[in-house]
Amino acid sequence: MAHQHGGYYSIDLYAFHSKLKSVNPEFKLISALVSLILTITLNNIYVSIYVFFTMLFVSVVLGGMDVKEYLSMFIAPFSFIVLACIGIALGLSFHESGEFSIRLGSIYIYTSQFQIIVTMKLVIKVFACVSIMQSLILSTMPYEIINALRNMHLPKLLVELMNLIYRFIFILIESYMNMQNSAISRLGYRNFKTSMMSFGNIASNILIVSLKKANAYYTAMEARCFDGDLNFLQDEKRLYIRNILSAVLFVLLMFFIWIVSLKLKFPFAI
Amino acid sequence: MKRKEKNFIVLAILFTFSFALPFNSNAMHIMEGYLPVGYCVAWGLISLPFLIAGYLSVKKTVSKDRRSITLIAMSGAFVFVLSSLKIPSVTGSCSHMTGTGLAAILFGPSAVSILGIIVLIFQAILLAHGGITTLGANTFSMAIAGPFVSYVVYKICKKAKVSDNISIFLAAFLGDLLTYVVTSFQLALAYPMKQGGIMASAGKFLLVFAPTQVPLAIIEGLLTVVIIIGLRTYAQSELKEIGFLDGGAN
Repeated sequence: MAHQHGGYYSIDLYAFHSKLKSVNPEFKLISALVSLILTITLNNIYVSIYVFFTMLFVSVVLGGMDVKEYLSMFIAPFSFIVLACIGIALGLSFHESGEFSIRLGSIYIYTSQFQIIVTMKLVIKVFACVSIMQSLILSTMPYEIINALRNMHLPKLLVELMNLIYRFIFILIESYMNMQNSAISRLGYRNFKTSMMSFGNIASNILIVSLKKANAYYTAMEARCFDGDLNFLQDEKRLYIRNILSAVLFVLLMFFIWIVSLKLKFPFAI
Repeated sequence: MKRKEKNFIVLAILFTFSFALPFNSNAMHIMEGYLPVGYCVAWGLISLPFLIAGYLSVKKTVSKDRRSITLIAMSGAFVFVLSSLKIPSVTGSCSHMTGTGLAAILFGPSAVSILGIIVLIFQAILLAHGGITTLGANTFSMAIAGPFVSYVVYKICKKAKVSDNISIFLAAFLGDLLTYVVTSFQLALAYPMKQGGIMASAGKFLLVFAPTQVPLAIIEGLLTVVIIIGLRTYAQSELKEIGFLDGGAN
């Protein structure tokens, strides 16, 4: 199971243990985005499989992460994938259609080989794309991603808000956990109705607490000479030639697999 | 195929559906890699004007009063936390609020678009919900369309002198429902049916997601009412303070 903030699920702390955390964050962000875009545009089942396994290699072997933990990351997107794929693979109709259909009352649920192949390709592509994002997140701290965005000239206000929000999230979650524990110990989650009341009251209480804290934080920031500019120390992480070479090699191999699979007319390649 | 076999398959499908129910039914974040490139870019472009408007309105608020930056950031963190908490549910599934209806009522739709996109980025990088390539589509359904409808419904109900709790419930419920409808259409546009086209496909996605999303919208509406009652009781002064966030209703 992933790292827990007192029962709360978050994956950011993996990055602090990753062996790849010393790699330049801008490089990681850009190469992740490039491979993400390529995987989607090429839309080729063999490229997707190659990407998925390379990313597994990057996170598990190079990053030093446990395989089971890595694979458990894919549970979160799973429910959406299942439902959305049912939506693509199956069709509804009032008269018999498709290559295979069953009747429910006056409605036919049907599917065809074509639809199943499309769905299969899509699932593999989604897994490949999710694994690219995972390998970025599992090796890069969120504040580094935010800093990288700042260096890429995202508006300053947005970067500042992201920095503050990232920090506030954990403060609010801690207050939530405390309130929830005290509500549970007073039978606040006894049945559905009381849990609704407790949850709602806790949520409104968090907002009140957070608004009170917001003022205190501003005062604290001002006391430390805040004049409208949040500056954070950035670790200097050098970009090595070998990093760039391996990324270029990875991308070239993607194109190579794509061309080979099209030229040799592999099944499902188009 | 024999009748018995068909019955067996129908049973198997129902069985599978009953398994799909207790899944983690989050708000409908479209997963990374699910949309073709053209749709990723198109939804991003559609969202852009709203985001720019939101950005300018937040910027105006902040330049008027520097102090409001921590307040806006806290509101964003609150929306994120709200959307990451497990809410009570009847089926035993693990579901989450979107929090956008509440945010739209409290902070106004323009600020929510900016807070929404930041929250969606954090959901993608902290919780693996949604993604970077689908950010545009998700922003449109969750941070623009949903909150906007919530806000409009709330305002209309206020004008029509509907009781407060009912108007809050309707705003949050309809906002959530619209997010679900918009997402279904986004999926349908990207994957239309061979027979029947986009509408048939949209109907199918609506049907598939209905068992998780409709109860969720009702629960979200009820919770939003409870939260606002709590705020009214204990935080009159703070509510006034958020009121200066542009477009805030309270």
